[in-house]
Amino acid sequence: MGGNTVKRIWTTVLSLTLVVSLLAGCGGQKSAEPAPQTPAPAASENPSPAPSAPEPAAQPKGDTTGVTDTTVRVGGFAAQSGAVAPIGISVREGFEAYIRHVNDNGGVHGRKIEIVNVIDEQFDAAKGLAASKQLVESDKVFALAPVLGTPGVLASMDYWVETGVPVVYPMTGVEQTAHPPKKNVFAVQPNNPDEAAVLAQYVVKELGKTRLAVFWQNSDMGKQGLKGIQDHAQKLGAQVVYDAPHEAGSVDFSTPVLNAQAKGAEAVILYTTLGETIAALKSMYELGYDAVPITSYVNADPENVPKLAGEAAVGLIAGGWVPVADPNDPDIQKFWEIVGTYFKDADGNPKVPNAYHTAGFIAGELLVKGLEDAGRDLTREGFIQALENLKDFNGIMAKGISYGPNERAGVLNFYLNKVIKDENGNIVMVPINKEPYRLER
Amino acid sequence: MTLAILAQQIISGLATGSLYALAALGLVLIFKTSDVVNFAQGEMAMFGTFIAFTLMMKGGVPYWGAFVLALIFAAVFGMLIERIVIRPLSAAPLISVLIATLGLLNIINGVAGWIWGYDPKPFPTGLSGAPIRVGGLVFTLPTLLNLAVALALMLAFFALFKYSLMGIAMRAVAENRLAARLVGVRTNRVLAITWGLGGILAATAGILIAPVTTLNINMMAEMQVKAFTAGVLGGFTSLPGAVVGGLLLGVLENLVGQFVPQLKTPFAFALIVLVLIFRPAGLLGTVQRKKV
Repeated sequence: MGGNTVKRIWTTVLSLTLVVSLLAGCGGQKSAEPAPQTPAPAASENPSPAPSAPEPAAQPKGDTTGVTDTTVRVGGFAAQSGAVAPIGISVREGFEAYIRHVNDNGGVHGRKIEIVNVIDEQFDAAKGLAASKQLVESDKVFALAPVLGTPGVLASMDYWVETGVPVVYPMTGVEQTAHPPKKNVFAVQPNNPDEAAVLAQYVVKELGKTRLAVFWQNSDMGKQGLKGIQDHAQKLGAQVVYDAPHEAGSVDFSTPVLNAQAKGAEAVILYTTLGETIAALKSMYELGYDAVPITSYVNADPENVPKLAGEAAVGLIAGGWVPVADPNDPDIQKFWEIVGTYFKDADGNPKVPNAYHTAGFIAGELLVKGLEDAGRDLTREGFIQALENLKDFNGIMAKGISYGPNERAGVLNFYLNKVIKDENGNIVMVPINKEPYRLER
Repeated sequence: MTLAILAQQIISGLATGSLYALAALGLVLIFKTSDVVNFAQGEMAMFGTFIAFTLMMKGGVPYWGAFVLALIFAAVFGMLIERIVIRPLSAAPLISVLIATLGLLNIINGVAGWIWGYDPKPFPTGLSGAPIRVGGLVFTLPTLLNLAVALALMLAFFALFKYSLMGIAMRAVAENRLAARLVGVRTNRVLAITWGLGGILAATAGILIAPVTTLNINMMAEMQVKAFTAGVLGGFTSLPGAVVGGLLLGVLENLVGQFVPQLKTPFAFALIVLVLIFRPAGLLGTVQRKKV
């Protein structure tokens, strides 16, 4: 209800503003936009939130909100307090580290990137939308990044589309970031149905398991995962013999485990978050159910999965969309060096980045790549076009990011991992494939 | 659904139910004596479990040693809460006390996050070993331990209330605080001890629940709701009721989950409403008369 009301009010405001500008005539109405070098956006294709009166420009130059000769302003939101804070803080640090690194090396086309704000939206939908509005309307950023969290992303999506502000890497797995594609929103991490389809493809084609069970969290994530598997199973010649939802935070999986076992499922696809994954693995282990468990990249956590599930984790296959960190890889070393230069741990040593730093870092890389490719005459339109042209972009941590005229999904490459017991008896998560595994559509 | 699945569902239901029962015992104990529904009970459990964890990981204390030390801590913690937060509110309306315990819930949760962080941690079980298999049925050792502890605590506290002087004093305080004081019961001391015992029950529940949920600051969020349901179902004034309610809830939930998994959680809430309408005293509770 809130979203629709906001949308309606917004449309009204917009049309009113347009009428006012038209009535005021050319150049008569001074806009709220402070930057003199910001010409009016072409209202038809890019209604900016506070559109200035159309100036009698010789030709439409495009939207240069947030751009000056020497700077380009960006900002985003990520929880900096509350339960999601550990993720949000890492995301911000990863993003900031890469941007500061670029700035210290001269910036992009003579411009320094100014991170005006990373708003603490506390993983809250309403605060996420408010943050988007603040960034677009009062901070007047050129583009939004980093943007973390399903609630804020979903709440802001309509607003982003209406305002046309470029959004670089909304960090969530929900499919709305990429399906249907939105001109100004560039997803990076794979969305749930695409990833679920890849997991199904792997168990069917590579492991020869055709009777599948799906345990899915009763949430957007779980529902979209289930849909991806169901849509894809038939094409693969497989069958979903059992599926069961559960609430987030469930600890007892005996019901679905017993039923999947009774239905003869050979692989169990877990569309769950960490705690439930652990509980489901323990249930399978205790009840002696030997189907292959396979799960989303959400659970590709080489530290916590073996630690929390122990023996029960052995055999688990977990998706992933960036290769697992190999300390000898020069790219990884570069990444660690950049983050460590700008952020220190409690003892004053260079901070060792985690997976969430990686996400923030990739957002930074993609933003900078777009700014580079868009050239010195920076407009939102040019930036969006530059990103749209990306084919298999490989940066330091960003790998295999592609877009197209009607494609906003970003990464469709997968790197799978498996939990094994190594020769010393330690339970560890190791990568399965070095070359990306791809979804066959 | 085959008979084997049905039987295993009941066993699994009892396993989960014993966790609900453990969490419910402390709630019922404090309510029975002081009329306070302690919303912070789950967080007290979580905090005590983190103490045990720290003793084991940082202090190298063995499992059972850490268990006992954590219980001592929890007893002191419970008594401190009574002295600092609850007693000053003794003249205030009950609703103020309830809100204070809600405040405590958030305070303890926030402080725990600040001290121990937000990452889930593995917590060991008191008993480990291969599950016992009887026919096609599987019993895990921690489950049997949880059931045994829940039943033992239930019996111990039942006996305490029924036969010991302390228990009689607790019942007196529960029935009529003023009259109890007039006949020489040191009501403040009784309430302090009640909260201390409530703390011990909380930490016991936390330590036994943590291997299942993994140790994290929100480990009790779901458990607490189920513990309330168990309490209401069994009768909020009855310790055996808390245990019977917990076990019954665990089993019923599994059976609901077998047919309509989406309704597993709503079912618990529906049960609260239904019990309150049709049998407000719960299965084993006694009818509460209004206090003057």
